[in-house]
Amino acid sequence: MNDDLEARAKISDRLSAPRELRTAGPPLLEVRGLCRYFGGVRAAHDISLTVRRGQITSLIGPNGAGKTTCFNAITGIFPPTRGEVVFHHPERGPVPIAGLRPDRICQLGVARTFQNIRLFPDLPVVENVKVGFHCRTRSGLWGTVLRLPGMLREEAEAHEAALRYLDFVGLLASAHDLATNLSYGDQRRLEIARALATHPELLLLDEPAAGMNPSETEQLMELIRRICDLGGTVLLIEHDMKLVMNVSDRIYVMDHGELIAEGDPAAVKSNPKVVEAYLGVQER
Amino acid sequence: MSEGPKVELLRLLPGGHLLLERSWGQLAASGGLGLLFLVLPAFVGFGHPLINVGLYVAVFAILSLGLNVVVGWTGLLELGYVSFLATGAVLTFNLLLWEGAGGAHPFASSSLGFLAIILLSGLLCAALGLLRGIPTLKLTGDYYAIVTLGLAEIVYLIFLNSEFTGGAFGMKLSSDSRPTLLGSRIYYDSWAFYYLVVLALGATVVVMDRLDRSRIGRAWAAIRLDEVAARACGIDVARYKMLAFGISGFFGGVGGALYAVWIGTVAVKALDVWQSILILCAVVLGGMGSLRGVLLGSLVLFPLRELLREELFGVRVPPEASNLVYGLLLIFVMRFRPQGLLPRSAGPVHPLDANEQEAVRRGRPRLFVLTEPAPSSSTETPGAGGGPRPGVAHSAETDGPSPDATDVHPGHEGRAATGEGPAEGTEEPRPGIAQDRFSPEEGSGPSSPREAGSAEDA
Repeated sequence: MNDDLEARAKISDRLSAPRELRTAGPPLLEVRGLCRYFGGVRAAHDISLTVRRGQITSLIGPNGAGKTTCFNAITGIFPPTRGEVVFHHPERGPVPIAGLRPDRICQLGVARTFQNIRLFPDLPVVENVKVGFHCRTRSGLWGTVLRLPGMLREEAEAHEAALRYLDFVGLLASAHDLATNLSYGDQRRLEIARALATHPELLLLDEPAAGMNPSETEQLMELIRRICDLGGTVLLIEHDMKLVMNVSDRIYVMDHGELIAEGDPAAVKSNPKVVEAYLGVQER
Repeated sequence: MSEGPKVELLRLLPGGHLLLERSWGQLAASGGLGLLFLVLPAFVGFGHPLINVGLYVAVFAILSLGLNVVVGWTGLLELGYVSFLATGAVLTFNLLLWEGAGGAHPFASSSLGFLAIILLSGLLCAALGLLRGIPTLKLTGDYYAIVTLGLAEIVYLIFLNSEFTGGAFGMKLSSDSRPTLLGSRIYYDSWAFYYLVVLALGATVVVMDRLDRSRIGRAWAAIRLDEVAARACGIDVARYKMLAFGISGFFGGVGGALYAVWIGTVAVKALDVWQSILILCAVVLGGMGSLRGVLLGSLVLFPLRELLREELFGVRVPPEASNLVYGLLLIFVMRFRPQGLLPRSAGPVHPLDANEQEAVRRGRPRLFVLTEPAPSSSTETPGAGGGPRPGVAHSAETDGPSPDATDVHPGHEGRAATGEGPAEGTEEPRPGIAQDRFSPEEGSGPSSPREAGSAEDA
């Protein structure tokens, strides 16, 4: 309880303190006129947004606004009905990724986590992270069956690197537990570790703080910031306004499947449309 | 610790280092099983009915392990595995009976011919497995089961009504079409064939075990546990399902070839859907996805089947009723131990060992490698070449004044810009972090000697 109060105090301190936004790099992901309809339901309509390298961009909106639909269309879980998604690959330049298979998109460098946690429950924690390494390793059938030195080296490296990712998110101690035995907050962090293991240029986090208590949220905020500090770029869906306002450099607001506002945290906070749609009751 | 004597002991064995990661229990169980198969003939002699049961168990254990790839690892309920068994058996007999030029029976007259048959049979079935994967690739659960059942039934009916399978009469080998192994023809009491089958089982177990603990096995597990998450983690689901179909088919074909030679006649009528179910029973009984479980299941179920053919306590179970016994057995297992007799162990829950802790201490994770400027590209940037150590922290300084410069390396410029942005702001320690995250091969700072040492160890 005391922890929680302290965390709350810390958060409100940070909120009141002026925060410097990260410098915007060149665009990393450009979404232009993205639409996704389910029959007559316009889950997402004409969404355009730009994620700039090195920044934390947030996508917020009330429940059912179409945020996760956007994520799914970007990461290829289903193709967008219309619109284009361009990912600026550091070596290949702009790559249109709309309609590609999710594993191809992941290989290009866009990783994601899920709103309803999707871990591999029966696998140990460290194996979960090693699955994320899949697309960055290449030993094949012969290497595996004959246990060629290259494959053994790759396995050892993957194991070591997986442990380091667990260390990075603070789960090293439970590396050999089953993923299903982790607490809710730890499962979310494991999902982030697994996504990081795919070596993403862009990390999409779908409500990472859902169901977390304030101190866990505080840790998560720290983690997201650290990812960004190490050169990552994050696109975040989140309901926790404190978290969003605190870590984001740019915010897009959705309601009823459409974008209603965009801008930096201060501008979005004071935007009357946003207040009406989402922040209806303002806490402070 | 208990690791000491084991390590010493295993190092003495040729190839013993491969066994280091095994527990004593695993070593004892696999050693015991291998020994049982190897020395059984010494007690009863070749040609004894027990040897026959041993062959039966070994051949069907290979088939069960092959089926386990799809059912236990990839998580698809396969009901048509007998197609591979039948195809392998039919191909084997056709090749053995093929007279070649001048009635020389090229495949039946030499050991090499027989081994070629086994391999060809495996490859043909692997190809069939891939072919069958085309219509079934997108199916899961009951739909996959129904389609495989239907396809197996089609294969069964085609075989039953074809010339090349002997149709309803089946095929028999003449004395000069019997396969040859190590200079003598294979009959029911052939020692060479017995050891060939045992060797094949051993090889199958080793291959399966290696697949299980590999990148491929992980990919299959991911597909089984959550296909959407597997895709999102960059796993090409179609490719790995196809791989599972191919490998499963290969071992089905190998098992089919050995089955045909073991049983001596190929009667398509006997290769109906019940054989699929029987093999599936062995997998489910032992524990889906667990190698030792599948082996135990085979070791229990197939001898039981032989036992039921005999007269027990003056009672003979009618052959049709023997399926009831398996059914009851399966009901009991499902009721009281649904995970199987020896389920797949999730690995021991233990804290990190010293090696692992050392590995973690050696460095931070390498994040976002794609944006990481490679040493070569960072020397290209103006000014960085003369610096003491090319790297991100350095290039951030040099590129700082022109963060918006359009370069051929957009990623690189972006990194520089982001590295620079916060550095001029509030937090000082950022350059330190940037140095820490260098990968081993970039050999940065104080961690490099240890890194080099570890690379040599590996």
